[in-house]
Amino acid sequence: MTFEDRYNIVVKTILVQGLPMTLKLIFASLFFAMLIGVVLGTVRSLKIPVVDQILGAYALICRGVPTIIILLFFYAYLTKGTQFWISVLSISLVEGAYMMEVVKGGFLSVDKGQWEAAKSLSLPLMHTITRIILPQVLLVTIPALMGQIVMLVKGTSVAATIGCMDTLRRAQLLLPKYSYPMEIYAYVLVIFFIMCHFLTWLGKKLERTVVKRIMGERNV
Amino acid sequence: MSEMSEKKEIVVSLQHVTKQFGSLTVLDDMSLDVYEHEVVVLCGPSGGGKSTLLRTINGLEKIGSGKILYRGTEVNHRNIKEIRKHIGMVFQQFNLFNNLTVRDNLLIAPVKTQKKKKDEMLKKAVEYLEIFGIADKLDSYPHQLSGGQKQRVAIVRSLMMEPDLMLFDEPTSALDPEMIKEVLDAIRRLSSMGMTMVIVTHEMGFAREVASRVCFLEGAKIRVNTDTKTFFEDTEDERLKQFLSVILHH
Amino acid sequence: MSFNWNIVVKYWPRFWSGTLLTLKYAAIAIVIATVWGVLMGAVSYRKPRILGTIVRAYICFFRETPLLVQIYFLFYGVSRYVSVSAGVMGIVALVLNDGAFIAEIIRGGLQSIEIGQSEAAYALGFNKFQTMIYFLIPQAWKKVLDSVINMFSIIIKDTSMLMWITICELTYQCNQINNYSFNPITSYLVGGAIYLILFFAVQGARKLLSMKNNPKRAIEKRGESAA
Repeated sequence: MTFEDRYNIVVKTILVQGLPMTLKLIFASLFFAMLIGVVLGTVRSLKIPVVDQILGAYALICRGVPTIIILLFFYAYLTKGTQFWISVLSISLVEGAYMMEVVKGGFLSVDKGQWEAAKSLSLPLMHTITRIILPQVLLVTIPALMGQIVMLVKGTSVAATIGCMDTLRRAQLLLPKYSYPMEIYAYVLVIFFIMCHFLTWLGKKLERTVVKRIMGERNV
Repeated sequence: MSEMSEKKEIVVSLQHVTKQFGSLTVLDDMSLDVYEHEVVVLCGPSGGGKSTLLRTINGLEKIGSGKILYRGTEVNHRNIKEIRKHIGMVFQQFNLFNNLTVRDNLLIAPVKTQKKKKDEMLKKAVEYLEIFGIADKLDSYPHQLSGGQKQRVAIVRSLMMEPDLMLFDEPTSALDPEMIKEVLDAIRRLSSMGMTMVIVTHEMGFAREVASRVCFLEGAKIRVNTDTKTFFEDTEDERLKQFLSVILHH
Repeated sequence: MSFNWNIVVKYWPRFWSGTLLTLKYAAIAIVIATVWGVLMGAVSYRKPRILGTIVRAYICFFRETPLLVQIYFLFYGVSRYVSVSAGVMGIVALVLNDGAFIAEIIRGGLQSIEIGQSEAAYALGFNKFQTMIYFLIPQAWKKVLDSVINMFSIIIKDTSMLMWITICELTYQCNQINNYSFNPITSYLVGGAIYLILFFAVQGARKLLSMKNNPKRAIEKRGESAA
């Protein structure tokens, strides 16, 4: 392969065409997964009968069934929707379930005195959750959430299998033209590694700075 | 009941309050009136129901039967939120909001629930912090404070609501000995300001000094409820005598 | 379109052979990945000068890149130079990926053992290797068993990725059954249910083992949930 070929592969195809789609997949899935995680995790922490059992079953299914099964199911079952949205739907459902469990765990770790203090000051429930409890939940769960976000970023690669034109798919489509699969897949690996490693680093950084400054050493 | 106190208004009146956890009775037909400007200390061995009784006053514990009147109005689940705005509560474990600075801990309730002006409240907060000697901690997070400082901030947080009554649930039990004094000094100051207070504490020397009335709770009952002098010097109750001899001479 | 038992019956041989193949790959991957993970975990804990850096880089890289791309890289890329079957490459990919996660778990377990344990062993004349084999790894293993077994259910799920390199495991079969029957609800629901059964089996084993390992804690936990 010439330098020009490599330029075409890495810059023109993978970075310019593929990466934006991967980033879109990441941000859209992250948005919905966090939404599911925070809202349903909050609901789970309230331990409402029946609702809690249903959410527990949802979490178990997502922990036990491979994402690909869920993705292929939606791809075959839903007649409407692009590959992009079907991928976002599957990834957010699965990752949302994991985040829900993380957030629930965070809620359980918040001291019940925090609720009592809010009660004794007559803070409205919504206010207690959004200003006092949830921020603490998110702060203490930052390490776990960042780990889950890394899983989500890696998980977006399955979108390529149903034809979503992300980094991996763009790379695969280059293979008939440039017969250097090892090198081309290596580029994809490196791109994912950079993204994930950055997120891991960011997680540690946040833990050491923001979380430590606000919540103190015992929570780090 | 002395003639003096009858002239004053009753702030909180507990009438035949009973509570059970499963088959265990934790409050057994307890009645207690707290008059304006009075400092009532609840003491007794652990498991006697002191903290539970205190927590029923602002609805943190539900009661099984009996009733609680606040300024003549019966407390129920509908008006409890309104009534809590007039009752300050200080906890054993401080319970400052961990994710908020001292400033936000002090401002959140008055600004959000009482819709007071933020800058006025801030001025007031600073004044209180100065009174209690912690004005330099305005922008600190709770984890940066010592236990004694946390408890003083918690007291100021309650004061920000301009309470009519303050409840203290073992305010010094989680503190190191050298910090107990600073918190007790803060409570003394409130007492000299005429604040009506109900205090659960084991600090009997302190009780003797600030209390106008002391109750001895044991076995889910209020065994003794009398003025401070009688309580310490002239009690007939055998169990109380025993309790005092252990706690005062250890 | 709804769930159709006739399709389940008609295609049961396919579901069954897929399940068996999934189990086969999962079992092989679990055994090798565990051994590999313990080895890598021990090396990354000990940090020998050059090897330690390499092992740590490997663990970091394989934990922070997608399994699917690793599988493609190995099967379509590396296979060109090393001629091995899809099955072997699949196992290699699973071992390298999940083994890296297990290694990190083991390293965490080793780090949580107090230093006095190795000091005592050195004082008794054991060398570093013996100390690792006789004292540190067994203790760490007990501590992290729960997390490692949890990894086993992740490995079972991960075998589904092998469908993309021509291995006819359960997910591949579900996909085929859907192509023939045009009934995704039946095809994928049955497949998902089989994965769930495998998941529950592993989780059940995990609970049993952790109870056996730590009967006191198990009783306390039960007490908590009763209260």
